[in-house]
Amino acid sequence: MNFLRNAWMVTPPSVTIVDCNYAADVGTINTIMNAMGNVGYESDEPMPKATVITNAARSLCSVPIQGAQISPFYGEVNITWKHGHDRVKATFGPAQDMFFVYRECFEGGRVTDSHLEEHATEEYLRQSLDWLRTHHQNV
Amino acid sequence: MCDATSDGIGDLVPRERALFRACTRSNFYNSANEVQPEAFYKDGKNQTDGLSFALTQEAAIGKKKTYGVIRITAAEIHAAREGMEARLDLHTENHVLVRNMPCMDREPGERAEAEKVAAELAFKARVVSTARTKKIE
Repeated sequence: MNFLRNAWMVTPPSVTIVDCNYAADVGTINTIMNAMGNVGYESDEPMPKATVITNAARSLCSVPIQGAQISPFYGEVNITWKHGHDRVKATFGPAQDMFFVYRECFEGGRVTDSHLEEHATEEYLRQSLDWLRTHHQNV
Repeated sequence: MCDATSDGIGDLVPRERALFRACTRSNFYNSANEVQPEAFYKDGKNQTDGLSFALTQEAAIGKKKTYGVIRITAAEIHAAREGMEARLDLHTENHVLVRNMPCMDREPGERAEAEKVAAELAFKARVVSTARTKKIE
């Protein structure tokens, strides 16, 4: 898979990321790659570009991704965390700098509250995951 | 919404009819066989006439590689959002297109609406088969 090889090649060993280290970055890339390879693609669906994957890994290296659902969608990398039916979803790509975070509160078969942050940051994602954890505890 | 083409769109599917959607990705349902919002994501650039469903499981699978089949009723589709409709495809027997569904690849407001609709449809839909099929060339 060329894009797997490219994902490694565009991440130089000298890169230093705030709150992360290179090993964590590569580990997150591997987690993303493994998860995405298992989901399946539509015919003629573009795969996420290597730069999108590395950007996702850099943004995710300071949040827990164990148990998160990681999947591709037409050039995007989507990572979803759930508690019950509530969810937080981070979307990277298909453009290199695109980073959305979507929060959703779900009760009785209906979405009762939701918000999509179109210019998301790592801090906003961390806050959203805190919201998901505490909201679920308070329900 | 993002239905760019209307060629061959037929009558509304009766409310009581079951609709089947092939799971073209493994993440359309989870390990507890609960349908996930991903099963109802629509990419407007590639699904230009609507989101694909079928009147039978066999028609939903067709010749595709699939991870199973999910089921929902036409009434549940029609109730999900004002204007959303399940309509027969006049070009392909047993094929149904869900029209006026918000798309994931549009401006953020529509994307947020697409997430919401997908979550609510996923809650109503059920997995009817987890049998995998291979693509038939």
